Amino acid sequence: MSGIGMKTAGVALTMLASSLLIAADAPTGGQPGTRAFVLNGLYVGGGGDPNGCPATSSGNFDIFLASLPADQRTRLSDPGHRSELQKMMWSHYGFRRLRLWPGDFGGRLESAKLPPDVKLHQTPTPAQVRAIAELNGFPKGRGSLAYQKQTIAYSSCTNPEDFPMLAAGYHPYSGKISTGLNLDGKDGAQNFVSPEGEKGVDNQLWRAVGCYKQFQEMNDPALQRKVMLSARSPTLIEVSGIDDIHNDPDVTVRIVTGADPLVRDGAGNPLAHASFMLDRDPSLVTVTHGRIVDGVLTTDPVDLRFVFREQIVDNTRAMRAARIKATFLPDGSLDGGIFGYSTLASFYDMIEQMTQDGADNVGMSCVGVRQAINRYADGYRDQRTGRFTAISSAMNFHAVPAFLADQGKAMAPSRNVEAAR
Amino acid sequence: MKQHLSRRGFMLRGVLGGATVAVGVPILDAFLNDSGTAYAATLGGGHLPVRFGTWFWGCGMIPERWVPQKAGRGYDLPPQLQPIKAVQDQVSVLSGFDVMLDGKANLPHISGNTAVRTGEASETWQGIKSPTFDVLISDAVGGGSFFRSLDLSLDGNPQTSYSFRNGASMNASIPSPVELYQKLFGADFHDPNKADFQPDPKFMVRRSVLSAVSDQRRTLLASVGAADRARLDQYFTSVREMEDKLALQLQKPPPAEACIRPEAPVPIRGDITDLGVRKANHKLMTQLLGMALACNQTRTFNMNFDTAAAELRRAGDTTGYHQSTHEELIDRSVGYQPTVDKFAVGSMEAWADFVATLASIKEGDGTLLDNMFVVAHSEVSFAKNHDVTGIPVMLAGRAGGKVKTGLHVTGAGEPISRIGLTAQQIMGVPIDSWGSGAMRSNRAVSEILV
Amino acid sequence: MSRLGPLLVLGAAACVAALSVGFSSATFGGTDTNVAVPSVRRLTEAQYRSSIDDLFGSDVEVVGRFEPDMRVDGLAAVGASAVSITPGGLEQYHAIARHIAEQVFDPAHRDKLVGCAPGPDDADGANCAASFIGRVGSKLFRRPLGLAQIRAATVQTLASAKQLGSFDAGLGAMLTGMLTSPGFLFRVDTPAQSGPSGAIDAYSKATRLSFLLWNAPPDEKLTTAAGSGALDTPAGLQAQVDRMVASPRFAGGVRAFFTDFLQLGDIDNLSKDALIYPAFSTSVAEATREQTLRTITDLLVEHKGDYRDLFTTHRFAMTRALGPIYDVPVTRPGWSIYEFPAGDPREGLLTQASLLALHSHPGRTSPTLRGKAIRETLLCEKIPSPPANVNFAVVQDVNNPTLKTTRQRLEAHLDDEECASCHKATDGLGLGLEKFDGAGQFRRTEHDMPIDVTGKFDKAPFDGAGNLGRLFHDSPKVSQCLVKTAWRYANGRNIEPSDQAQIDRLNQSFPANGYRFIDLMRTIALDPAFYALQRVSRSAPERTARAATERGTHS
Repeated sequence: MSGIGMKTAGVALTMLASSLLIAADAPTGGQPGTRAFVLNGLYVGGGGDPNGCPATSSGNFDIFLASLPADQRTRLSDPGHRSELQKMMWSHYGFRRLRLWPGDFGGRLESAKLPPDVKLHQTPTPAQVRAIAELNGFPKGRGSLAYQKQTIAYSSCTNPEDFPMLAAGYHPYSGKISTGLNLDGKDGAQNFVSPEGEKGVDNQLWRAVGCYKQFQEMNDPALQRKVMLSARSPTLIEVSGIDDIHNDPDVTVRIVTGADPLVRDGAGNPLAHASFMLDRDPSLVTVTHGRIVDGVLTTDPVDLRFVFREQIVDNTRAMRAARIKATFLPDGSLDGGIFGYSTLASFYDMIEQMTQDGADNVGMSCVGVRQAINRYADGYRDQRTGRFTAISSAMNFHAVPAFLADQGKAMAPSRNVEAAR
Repeated sequence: MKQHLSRRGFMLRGVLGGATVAVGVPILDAFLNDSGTAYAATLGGGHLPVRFGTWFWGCGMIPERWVPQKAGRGYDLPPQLQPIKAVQDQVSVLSGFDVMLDGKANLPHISGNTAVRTGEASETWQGIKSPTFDVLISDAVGGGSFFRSLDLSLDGNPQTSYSFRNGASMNASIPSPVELYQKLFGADFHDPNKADFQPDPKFMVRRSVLSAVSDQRRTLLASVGAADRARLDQYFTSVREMEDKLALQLQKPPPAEACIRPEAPVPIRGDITDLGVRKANHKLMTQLLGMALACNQTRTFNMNFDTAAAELRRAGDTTGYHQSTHEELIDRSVGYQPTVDKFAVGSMEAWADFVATLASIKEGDGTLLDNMFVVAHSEVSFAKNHDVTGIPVMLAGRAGGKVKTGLHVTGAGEPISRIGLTAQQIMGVPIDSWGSGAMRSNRAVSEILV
Repeated sequence: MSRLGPLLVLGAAACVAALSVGFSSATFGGTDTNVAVPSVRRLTEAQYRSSIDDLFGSDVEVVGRFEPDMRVDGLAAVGASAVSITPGGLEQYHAIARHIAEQVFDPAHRDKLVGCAPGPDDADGANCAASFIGRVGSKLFRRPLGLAQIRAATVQTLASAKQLGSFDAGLGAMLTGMLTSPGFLFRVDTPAQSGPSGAIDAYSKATRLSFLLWNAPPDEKLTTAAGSGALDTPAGLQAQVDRMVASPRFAGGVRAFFTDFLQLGDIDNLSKDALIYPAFSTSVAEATREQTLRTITDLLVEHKGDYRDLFTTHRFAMTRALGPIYDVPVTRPGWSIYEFPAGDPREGLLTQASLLALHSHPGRTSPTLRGKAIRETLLCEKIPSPPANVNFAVVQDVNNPTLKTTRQRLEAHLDDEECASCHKATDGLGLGLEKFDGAGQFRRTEHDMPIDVTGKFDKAPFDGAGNLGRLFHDSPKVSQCLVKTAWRYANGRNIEPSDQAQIDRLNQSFPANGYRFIDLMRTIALDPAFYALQRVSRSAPERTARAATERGTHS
């Protein structure tokens, strides 16, 4: 018996030893006290007042059509004549768009003439961009890379300042109600009341863009739950140091960008409990303190960067003094928003990346947006120019449970940094 | 015409080198008139060949809502039979025919089915004592067509089949329309209505290679034990069948007026356990089956709408059909289990669709269905308590004029093996009785015979 | 429940013929009252594939639908001794074979796999054909071909080549024929010509050994040992067994055993409701199978472990796709071993998603199916049939609509004595696993009610799957069931009284060797009884294949 016992004990000891060498992984449900979530997108949020817009802000086609004689207007309003309309409009305003590389766009775009020092498929330097623009007869000093740097373009989106007429028919959102937070502690004429009745809400971004159709459409919570944006580079929020999910005066919150895409589950919703590696760019990692009160998480203001990579847009957004306010729902998900001052530069970069063609098709005017965010900006005054460089905003999200690769790692809060652009 | 005959004559003698084609000769077009009805002249009576099939659905029905009150012609349609209204004239309903267990246990969803199919209840399919009656029929009539039989399942599972030669030998089902299409109308399909035909030497070669395999039979069988001899003999039978099939491929198939090579099907997407998806899949398979029959590629088939203990469900429901039969409470306001009722009706809708599809293919002076005899049945009557009395049966098709349709026949507790006996007799299997023990019977269901 | 009698019969006419042939012809060896019969086993799909893989390489595709394997008492390996090939099945094999032959002779593979052609000193290709047939045939049929065989096949090949106008087409047709012939598709023992009677010859030994340990046909070394006579000596046999157990291919054999034992092949047909279990997909289903097999080989092969530890192990193979099902972070690429901490609900085989999901419905759990699977598979128990007079009419008390948890639902069924006879045995165990839903995901409540996972196993109480696993670890029933199953798998048949002595020996040595699965396989492979022809009594109608596996389900 002892012989058998020794043998089994020997085997057992070996196994025990080998298992001690590897520390146990996380338990079912992940490390206790830590909950992470992946956001299915971040949506410009606001509105709620049905009388907020006298009309939808005009898109480029609307503006151009209005300028035409009546018979032409009627004919070209027909959706069947859309491409003719667009051609005419572009020609009228002198918009240009040339592809840099042969083979792109299936031959539908004209090719740019390129100076000899530009190498195939290598993104041109700023000096080369100027040279290309000149070589192709762009207006002096005009011409920018667009469409994922595959084209050189000149339009009301690359240079809104050249096309003030395309701000015609613009309306700011003038309703009383809007989602958002009181970011500056004050309550004045430019503030809103939240749907829950809180006063002093700062959301000038919504005031600026809230009457454009595409922003109105995406400001629907039901739609926001269904549509995934930036799925290939999702934003994740990790809350750690949780003693009590309902009430906890001190938790650590980490906002990161995932290096793995967000995928759909069998029911068409974002797949929950999936694991994500982190994007290695340190500027995309932000740590701050927070607290939970009655199941609602709020965090201290911190400068934050996140990405929006969707179709042709690859935009890094900077939000200053950003804070989270979100509710832990019984089904395990997290629902709420990130509120802070979006830098004008990083917000407009997203708009510009949509390109003139994109703006045309969604009924938006880059000029209208640019002018509006300039006008309604309310944060971070530039010392030199005296102008505000950021605009109060609310980004809504719905998030499902997820795991971060380095779950449970200790981390220190981020230092606030100057806005990127 | 004459040219074809002589060419075929050459085929029969020259290419096959004097060896007889082991099984039935395909119909020579010289025997047929323009509408395909003059088969009679040489082969005595009847019309185009009668095709036989079974159609199986699981979990039976709710008797109070299925069994018609009136017997005979013009029977009433209780709620679960409403779906067959449009095809009622072509469908006979057989109620009140029982499975007798003879003291054996009633294995849920098995005993009833084995009894219906083999004439004797068994606790497992592996324990059955005889082949299922569809195999007996296909043995008798299946030679001479490309496939002895087609076994089809709609649930994506090749193991859903109730066609057995013996307990160890199940005829696996073709589980998808795409696969069925490939088999029927893929690379080896010869359009019977095409004017030209060239025998492909590759079939000759395949046949001779296989016949060399057959030559090993004697030696191999001598070297194994008694039980295995039967198994290996079955293998060699399969080889011979394949040789025969290859021989058929060397002959121009007789014209089949209704035969049109269909387009390759687009597979049905979605959860195959969902009733709606299942019905769509069923419709697709039925259309292919109909065309296979019209092209004379087989004379027998088995179609399985779902399994015994039906795994059908509605997407999003935690409880499926089978569980509902046991667990759903009777809704007092209507007096029956509503979910169960829905699934039973859905099964009847599929059956009606099946009948209508086959009736829509013209053949001879009537339709394909006129030249068919189909036995549809389930494995229980009232599923909640696994009742094997009064297992529902429906018949469709006139069997080329041998069978009356549109009747309700009440069995009054008679053994359900009478139906298997009747089917075999109609299809020309030379038996006068069938079944074992209390289910042994020598009386066909004469009400349906012409 | 009475044992079902002899079951291997054909339809009436054929049955009579078989019996008469059986009794009239002589067999080999044996006394008047019993005869030694070789085993005849049809290749499983996995074995077919490994044969082609070994012979032609993994980039030759094997495409098509195989005739389904049949389980007898839970094992396809035993069913392999009962099945034949139906006409439909043969057609499938033929189509698969044609596709293989096409690839072997295509430009990408021809040089490597055929390597010769008709040429100046072999005008009609007879030499090339003969060498190909000899080489490939001996591997396919798992023994060298006789000269006469090769000659006849070469003649036929050349005739086919002429008819088709192509040497390759002719040789390809021959290959197709070989792949369809019984010598390939069935493993038939050949009795030894010399030596003790009642044993199988060396090539048959090699085949048995190789399919047991690697689930593949014999490799070159093993074939050589058979040809040289080494395999007929104890030392030679031991050397081969040791080599094969030490080889990385042994893990493949272990996987094949556990795939059959745990019926993991059924995962191919597993589907879940996408709305109720959105995290479950076909690829997740396959991952659960792979997980269980890797967990097993990690424990039993890599770590040469104790079989019983399968029921208590915290070390689960894990991959990214399974993270959502197990609700754990998984960030290591590919497959790795994930170690759940002590006290975690995941411990042991009974908490792995493969078994939990396999034995559930598409949209909910089934303690009955799970309990039945555990009893029949892991404990080798038979769930009794319901008695003939069971009254199914009283299945449910219609007056009690408030049944929230599965336990409550099923307990309503247990009110009736007759139903309880089956259900007590199964549900009692299955209910202990209820904290894992129909997709194998962990949950604490069902419709907001806490889940009670207490129960009794062989009179010992347990609370939850981990507890139950520990009871299984300590239960001799579990280890004895493995021994029985491994023996049945190896021999491809059920246990007869004459085999009991060997089973008893194995039941002694298995615990003595620390319940190491490797040692169990080795012991079986080294026992001379493994290479004996089975003895059947001449007066008994046939070797039986006791069938008990139902095809229908009853929740």
